[in-house]
Amino acid sequence: MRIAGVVMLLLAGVGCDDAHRRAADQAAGLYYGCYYTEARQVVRPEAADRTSGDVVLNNLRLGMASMAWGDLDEAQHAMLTAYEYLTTGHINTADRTAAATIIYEGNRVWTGEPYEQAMAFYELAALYLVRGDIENARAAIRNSLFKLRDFKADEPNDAEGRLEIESQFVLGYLVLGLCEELSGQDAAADAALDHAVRLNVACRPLVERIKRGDFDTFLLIDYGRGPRKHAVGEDGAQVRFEPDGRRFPPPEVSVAVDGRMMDVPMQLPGVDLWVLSQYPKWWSLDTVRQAKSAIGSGLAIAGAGATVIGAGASSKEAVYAGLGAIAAGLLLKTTSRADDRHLAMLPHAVYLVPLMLGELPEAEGRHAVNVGFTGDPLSTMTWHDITAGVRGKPRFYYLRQHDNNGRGMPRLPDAPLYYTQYTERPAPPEGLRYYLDGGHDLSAPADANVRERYRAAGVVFLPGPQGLTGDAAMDPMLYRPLVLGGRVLWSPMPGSYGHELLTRMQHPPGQPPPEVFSTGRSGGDTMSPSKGGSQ
Amino acid sequence: MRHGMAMLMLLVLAGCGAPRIENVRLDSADLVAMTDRMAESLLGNPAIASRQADDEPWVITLDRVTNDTSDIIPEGEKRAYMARLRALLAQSPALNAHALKFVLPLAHAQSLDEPNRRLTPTHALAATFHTADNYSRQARSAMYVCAFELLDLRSDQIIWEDRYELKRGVTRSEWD
Repeated sequence: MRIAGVVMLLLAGVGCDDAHRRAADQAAGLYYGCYYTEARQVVRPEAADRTSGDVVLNNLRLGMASMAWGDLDEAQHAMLTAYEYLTTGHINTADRTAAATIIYEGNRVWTGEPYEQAMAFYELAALYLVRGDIENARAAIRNSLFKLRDFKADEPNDAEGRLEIESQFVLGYLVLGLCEELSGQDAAADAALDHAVRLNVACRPLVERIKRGDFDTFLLIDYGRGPRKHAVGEDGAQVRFEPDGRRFPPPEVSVAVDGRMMDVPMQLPGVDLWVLSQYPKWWSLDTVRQAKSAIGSGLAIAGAGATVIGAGASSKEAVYAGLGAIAAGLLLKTTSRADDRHLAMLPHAVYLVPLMLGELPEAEGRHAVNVGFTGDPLSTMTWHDITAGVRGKPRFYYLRQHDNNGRGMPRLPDAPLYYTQYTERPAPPEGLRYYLDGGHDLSAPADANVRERYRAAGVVFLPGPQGLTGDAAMDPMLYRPLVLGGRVLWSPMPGSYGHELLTRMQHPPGQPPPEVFSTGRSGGDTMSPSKGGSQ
Repeated sequence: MRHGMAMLMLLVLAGCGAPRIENVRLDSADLVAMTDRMAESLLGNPAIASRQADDEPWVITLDRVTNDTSDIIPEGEKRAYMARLRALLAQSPALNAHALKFVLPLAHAQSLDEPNRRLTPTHALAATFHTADNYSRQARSAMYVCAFELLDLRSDQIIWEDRYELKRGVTRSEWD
């Protein structure tokens, strides 16, 4: 009875992170419904918990949702936190290692399958490229090219019969070559890019374009839903990554700028995760799990045999030993279930598209870039206010496209409904026409101190914790735009869903707190008492 | 006793220990050790040590570190290395004794009200960090070579160069 109690306690103790996991798992559903603000809100408190076994996973979730929304500061903070753990050794404490080995693999700190790790480094590199920081983008992508272990090699060199091989992450080599090229390191660029071609000859046109430097704008497109990880097989000890990539070839990408079709040197993706995730060399731990399950099965069978024989021989000791073995075996089998945590926000495929926008007739320097995929009209999206960089110093855009939970990405007007700091058009003092639609003319002389009045009303001009710590820093209103009921008067950069949402979608007219305009509209110049507190 | 053992097992097996960080990145101790040594090396260089206070001043500009490693170095840290080196040199009496002056990088100077008052640099102090890495799922090691050099901008000659090297490694278990 006491033993059973201990076993029950152990099993109960398996999921110390379970309650948090359930909450954070909702984030992927929100993410694929384009509810990026809400996804971030759900996962933000979990990402801040440095004691959680999901600290890496949650920070990557927060980082990817923030990138899709266009909040690069929060994305960078979250992804750097994940990076810190991903590049560490001995991340698991002794108790976690013991619990993961003996009880349940899910007790370890999640660091992802190798393909998830490689993609996490790619996403971080993409973030730095968008920020124009080529050096750190290069540093990030170098981390994605770690050695792999192949299960099928002819010359096994480790105890489990696997051979260490060089990375085959084509996307990593392409981005590394791109970074080296932009850093003026021609030899290193050629080495990386030529290696990418050796791994996938379809890359050649893209590689030649990168080597020529014939682009001033570069699209980094994350398309569709990444593979989902399921525990399958006897005892759920094996994992399967669905959908099976061999049955779903990735679509070809097409790009039109201001209605003109553009030459896309490589229409197929640089990586297809549905395919990549099918190869055991991009997995980890499978062998350990299966061994544990097999030992469990053996113990249970041997225990059953001992019990039957012991009962026949009237031996209490043999019966108890047999029952003990059965219990141990069943426990092992039960706990050999695979850990099915995964980074569901990863894309199905990643496309790299260099463009030469500077040669196009300009529409005030801002372009509407339509990105479509063959056979998947729901994932088509037009991104507005895209501006070109220059040759040798291109501007990068990270575009996240999926079918929006079957509803399709929004079709939005080309002309902005709201002005932002990026639209380069005459705009009210704070750049957003939000309150204008509510009948409050912020451009009137009496409103010259409107920024101070906004502050007094609790409005902030950048998303983020505003120097606050603890629970106060988690206030979702500090990250949510005014037009969505938050306190932030700021717009994300073009190429993000947040920019499209704020500039092209109709929102209810703003209704600022009365004190914001109580003096300004009557021509006075004294500020009203603070409502939300100045930040 | 049995209850105690059960509780001990439970504590061990519950497995809720906070994730640890043990990586191969450069840290603040490296920053201090590296800049201390580079300042000493630079001032000890014969080309500088032989200079007199009434020589024509060398006007030295220095910017941030160039990162050619496999580790992300935030912008602030890149500047911190050079800022500490400059501060060490500026505190040294040798600076005036050898007629050395530091000026802000051009981009910083342009952001000031009177950028035209900036002295024209004659020399540039630069640093590039490199790594030779080896990483797999089981282990990770990095050999850092942090190279510093003082360039004469008028002749493109390297007046002084030195490097700070260190090697770091960590291993991982199957579960990491």
